[in-house]
Amino acid sequence: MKIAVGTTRRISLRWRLTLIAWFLVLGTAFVLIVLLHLRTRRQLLQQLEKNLETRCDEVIMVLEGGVSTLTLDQFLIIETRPRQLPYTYFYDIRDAEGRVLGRSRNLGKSELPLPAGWGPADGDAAVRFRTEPDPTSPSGDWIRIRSERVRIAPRVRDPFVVVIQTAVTLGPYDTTVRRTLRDAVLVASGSLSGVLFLLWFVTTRALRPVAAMTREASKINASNLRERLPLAGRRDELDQLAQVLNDMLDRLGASLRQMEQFSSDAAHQLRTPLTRIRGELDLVLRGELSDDSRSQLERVQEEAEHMSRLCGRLLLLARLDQQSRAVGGFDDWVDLDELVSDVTDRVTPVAQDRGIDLRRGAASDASVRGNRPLLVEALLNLLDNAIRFTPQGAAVIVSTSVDNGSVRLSVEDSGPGIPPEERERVFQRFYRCPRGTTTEDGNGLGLPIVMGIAQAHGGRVELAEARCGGSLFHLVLPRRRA
Amino acid sequence: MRVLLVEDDAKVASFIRRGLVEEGFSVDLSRDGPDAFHQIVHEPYDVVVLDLLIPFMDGFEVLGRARRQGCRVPVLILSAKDGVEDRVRGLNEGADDYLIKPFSFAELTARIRALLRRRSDVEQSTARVGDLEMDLATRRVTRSGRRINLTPKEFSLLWYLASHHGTVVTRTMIAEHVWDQHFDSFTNVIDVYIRYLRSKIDDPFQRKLIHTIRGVGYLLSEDAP
Repeated sequence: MKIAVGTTRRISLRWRLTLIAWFLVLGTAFVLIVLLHLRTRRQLLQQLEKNLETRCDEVIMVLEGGVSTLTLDQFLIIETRPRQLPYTYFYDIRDAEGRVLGRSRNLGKSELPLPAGWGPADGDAAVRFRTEPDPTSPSGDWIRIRSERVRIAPRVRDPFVVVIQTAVTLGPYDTTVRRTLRDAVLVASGSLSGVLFLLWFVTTRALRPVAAMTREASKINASNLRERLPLAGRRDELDQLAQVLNDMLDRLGASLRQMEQFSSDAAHQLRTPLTRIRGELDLVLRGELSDDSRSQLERVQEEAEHMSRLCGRLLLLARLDQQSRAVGGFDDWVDLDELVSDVTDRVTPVAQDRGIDLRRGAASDASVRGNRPLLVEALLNLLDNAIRFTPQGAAVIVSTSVDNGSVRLSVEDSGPGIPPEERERVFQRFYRCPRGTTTEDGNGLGLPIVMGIAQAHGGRVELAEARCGGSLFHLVLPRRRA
Repeated sequence: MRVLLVEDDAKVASFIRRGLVEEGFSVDLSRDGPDAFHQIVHEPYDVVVLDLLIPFMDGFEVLGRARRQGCRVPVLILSAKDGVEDRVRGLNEGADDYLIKPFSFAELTARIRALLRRRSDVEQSTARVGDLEMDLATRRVTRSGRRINLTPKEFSLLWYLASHHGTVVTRTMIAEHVWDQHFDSFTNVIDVYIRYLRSKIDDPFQRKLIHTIRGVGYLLSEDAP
C-alpha cells in the first residue's frame, strides 16, 4: 500500500509561507510610497508658497519705492515676461477700495479672485492661500493663489492698504508629483518581484529538510518498518519531529512483530492438540460404531482436518510476514510459462469436472528469480478463487506477459466480478465476499496468501475488471536479471 | 514388525502406540534423545517413527549419529516443524519420509507400510499386477496383452500405485510423489486422475484393480481388500 503524500492541497506550505511574507513586504512598500507621495507634495507646495511670498515681498518693496525706481507696471512686465521656467506666475494688486493698482499682462482680461469675505472695509493685515481654477487656461489647470493684505508705508506718500495676490500654475507641480509617484511604483514593483523570487527560494531551502523527510518517510511501510528517518544532528524542530516519528515507528514495529509472532506461535501451539484430537478420532473410527455415531464423528474429523489446513495456512502467512527462512529460498530460476503449464495441467481435470473451460491465454518468454513452490501455491490459490466464482460453461484464462521491469501472471475469470469498493478488502485476512457463492472450502486466506507471496518476491497483486465483467488478477513480479 | 516410537508428548505417544498395536505392530516407546539413540543402534527395529523436538538431543542429531554408526533402519520423521528447511535437513540427515503433525492415522500407517515395503523391493523397471504390465523405460502399459495409452501424468500415477501394489497409498503420498508438492487447494485433482485411470485400466475389464479405501486413499491390487 502507498502512503499518499499531501500534494493534493490547493496551496503548498512553501507557497503559503512565500505569499504571506510577500504580502507583508507589499503592504510595507505601499505605505512607504503613500508617505513618500504625501511628503513630496507638501514639500513642493511649501516651496511654491515660499516663492509666492518672496514675490509678494518684492511687490511691497516696489510699492514702498525703497530699493529701485521701477514702477509697479515695469516690475510686473519684467517679472512675467516669458522664460524657460516651467512655472508661470500671476500678479494682481488692488487697493483697499478694490481698484487695480497693477496686474500682470499674462492674466489678460481675467483677474485673480479675492478670498471670500475680503471686502474693502477690512483693513487688517492677513495672508490667505487658495487653490482655484486657472482663469487664463481653458483646459482647467489649477493655480495656487496667495493673497496678502498689507499696509504700505512709502516714504513719499501716506500709508495705504493694498491687497497683493501672487499666483502660480500648478501644472508642472502636478507633473513632478506624478512622476515621483510613478518612479517609486516602478522601482517597488521591480524589487517586489525580485523579493517574491527570493522568498520562494529561501522558503524552498528552509523546507528542503522537510521534503527530504517526507521522501524518507514515504519509503517506510509495513514491510520495511526497520528503516528510520535520518537525523541531521542540528537538534532543531525537524530533528525533534524525526525523533518522535522514529520512536513511533519503534513502537509500531514492536507491536507488529509481537502480532506476527503471536499468530505464528498460536498456529504452532494448536498443532499438538489437533494431532491428539485427530489421532484419537482415527482410533475411535476404526472400532465398532453405530452408523449415527460414525457419521457424527466423521463430521468432527472433517472439521479437525479443516482446522489443520487453516493452521497450516496461518503459519504460512506468518512466515511470509516474518520473512522466515522456513519458506525456503528465493533464488530459483522459475520459468513462468512452464510453471503455468504445470499448474494448469494439474488443475484442468478439476475445472473440467465443474464444466469450466480453463485456458492458456497469451504466453511470453517470462522467467523470474523466486521460490517455485510458493509461486505454484500462489497460482493455485488464484485458480481456486477463479474457478469457485466462475459459472458452469464459462472460461478461466491464465496468461503471462512481460513489460519493462516486471513480469505479470494474470488470471481472468468469468464470475460476477468484484465491485471497486471491495477490491482492497478481498486481500484482508478472513474477509469473505458477501456474494454468498462461497463454498465451505474457502477460508478467506487464499488471496491474502497470494498477496503475501507476491510481497515476499518484492512484487504485488493487482485486481482489475476483466473484459467479460469478471475479475482479473495480476500477480506482478519484479524482473531481476541473473 | 517392531516399531520404535520416539515421542515425548505422552498423550500423542499413547494414541500412536495404541493405533499401531491394533495394526499388528509391536511398539517400543522412547521419550528422549539419548535413549532413542541407544535403542536405535542396539535393537533390530523394522522402522523408527521419530519426533524432532525431544529432550536432551534433538531428532536430527539422533538420526545423524545413528546413520553415521551405519544403522540403516527406515526412519519416518513425525514433526510439527513443517518448514522447508527442516524437511530438507531431515532428509539430508538420512530420514526416509517426513510427516507433519497434525496427521491422520491412516496416513501414518500407510507410510510406515510403504517404508517397510521399500526396504524389501529392489528398484525395478517393470511392474506386474495381475494381468497389468508396465515398463518404465518404454512407458508401455498393457492389460491382458492389450495396449493402453496413458498421458505422462496418468502413467506416473499408475506407476506409483503399481510400485506400492498391495499397500494403500494416501492422497498426500500421491501428491508428494507424483506432483512433487503437497497442496491444500484442489485436493480432488487426484480423485479426478484416478477416475481417468479407471476408465482406461478397469472399465473395459471384468476384474477391477484400482480400489478406493475410504478415508485413506487408493490401493492397486488383484484382490479386493
